[in-house]
Amino acid sequence: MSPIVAAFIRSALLPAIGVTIAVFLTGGMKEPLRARIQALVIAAGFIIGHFLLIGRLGLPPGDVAESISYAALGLALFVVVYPMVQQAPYMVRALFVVVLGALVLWHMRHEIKGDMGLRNSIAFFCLGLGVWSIFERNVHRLNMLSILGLPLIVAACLSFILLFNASASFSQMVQILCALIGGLFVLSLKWPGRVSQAAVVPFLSVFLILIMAAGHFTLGVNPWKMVFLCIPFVLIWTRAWFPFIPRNPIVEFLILAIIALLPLAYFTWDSFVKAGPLY
Amino acid sequence: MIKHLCLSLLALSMGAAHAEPTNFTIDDTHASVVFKVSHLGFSNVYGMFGQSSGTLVWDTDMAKSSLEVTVKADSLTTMNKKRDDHLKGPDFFNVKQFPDIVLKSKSIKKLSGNKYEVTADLTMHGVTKPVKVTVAQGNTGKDPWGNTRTGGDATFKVKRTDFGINYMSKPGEIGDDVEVMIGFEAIKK
Repeated sequence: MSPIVAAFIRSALLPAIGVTIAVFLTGGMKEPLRARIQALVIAAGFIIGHFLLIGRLGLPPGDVAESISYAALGLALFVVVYPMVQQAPYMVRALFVVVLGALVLWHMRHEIKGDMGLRNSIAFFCLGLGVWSIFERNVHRLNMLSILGLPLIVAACLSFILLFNASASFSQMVQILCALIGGLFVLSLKWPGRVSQAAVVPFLSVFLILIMAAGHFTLGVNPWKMVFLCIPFVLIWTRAWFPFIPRNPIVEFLILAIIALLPLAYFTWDSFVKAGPLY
Repeated sequence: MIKHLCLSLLALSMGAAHAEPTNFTIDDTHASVVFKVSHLGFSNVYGMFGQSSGTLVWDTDMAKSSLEVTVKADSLTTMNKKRDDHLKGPDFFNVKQFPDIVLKSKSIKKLSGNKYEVTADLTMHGVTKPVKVTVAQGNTGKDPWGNTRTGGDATFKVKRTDFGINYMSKPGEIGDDVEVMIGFEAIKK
């Protein structure tokens, strides 16, 4: 078996199965307990998968990759404190995004010096906070399949972009997130009510932006590519503008996914062509 | 009186025999830091670092000799840009966070002939581990530009996982054992 496939099964697929089962089993609990437990389960699944991938997790974190695992834990703890959607005051959420950003980018702080570095870090802060807020305000307008499926598209494309920019491990890290979201997506096909919105929203929004920021400062990925990847979040934001899209979960997801995939698939393909074949 | 004179002469000669250590600066232009690592068990991939600097302090008393070499991790090349970008990235050397690889000797022991064993601390990827470096000393003398020059060849092996470079390090993947070969020259200050 190819080592890449073996790594995916070990670090992504197995934790995703575990998390999906755990979310299913806790799905019958009442909020806010359900949100707290499922957030911790999702974070644990990511941290375990990431550890199985890179084989290290120091305290304090030794590099950006390890910091991202701690950011996942931080988000879960945030949900433990604020287990309802839109419960956290805006300023608290903003400060938390700053703290998470500092945690993830601490080892790259020398890259943030200068006008461009500072400008880009502020841009990622605004993007992270904005996407999180958009998600929280509009999550009630969407079915669970779309809530999970649209960020899954973002994550999948992000995984490819990171691979084309010479980091297989970062790409595989995002694949762990894709597998976790994918498992919950499959669960939602049959039992959409089992997944807590409050638990998943941070991992589908600001967590992805944190990884994008890490990709930019570590690998030099053009930040505009990251902004372009956020097109599905715009669809979440503007869902109310498309009342003609049926509320049927599968139909809604398919239509929104096609609208999101058209530009992103072309963009990802174009990035692959420009990057050239992998060595 | 003759006895005192002899003793004085003996003391003077001991002082003269114990000369000051000689300080050398590593000549980057004539330093080659080459490594080889197994690629999926099919063959070895060779790479080198193009920028290095350092100092060599040489004394007949080995305890006073020392070697310190700093290699710029970003100067790595394997003659393939994509592979170089990958090696410099977070999967391997993570040069943005860990720009320098430093070898600092702790002790030097003469083996036989022109061979020496240098026990040193190697700092790479944010981790410091002891390594034993075998050095074969070359000639020491005047070069065409009038400098006093010395040099040699050094080899040692490391396990990259000891330094936290774990990506695809399982058997059959990219080798954990890395052999390093250094050819160096140093100019007397």
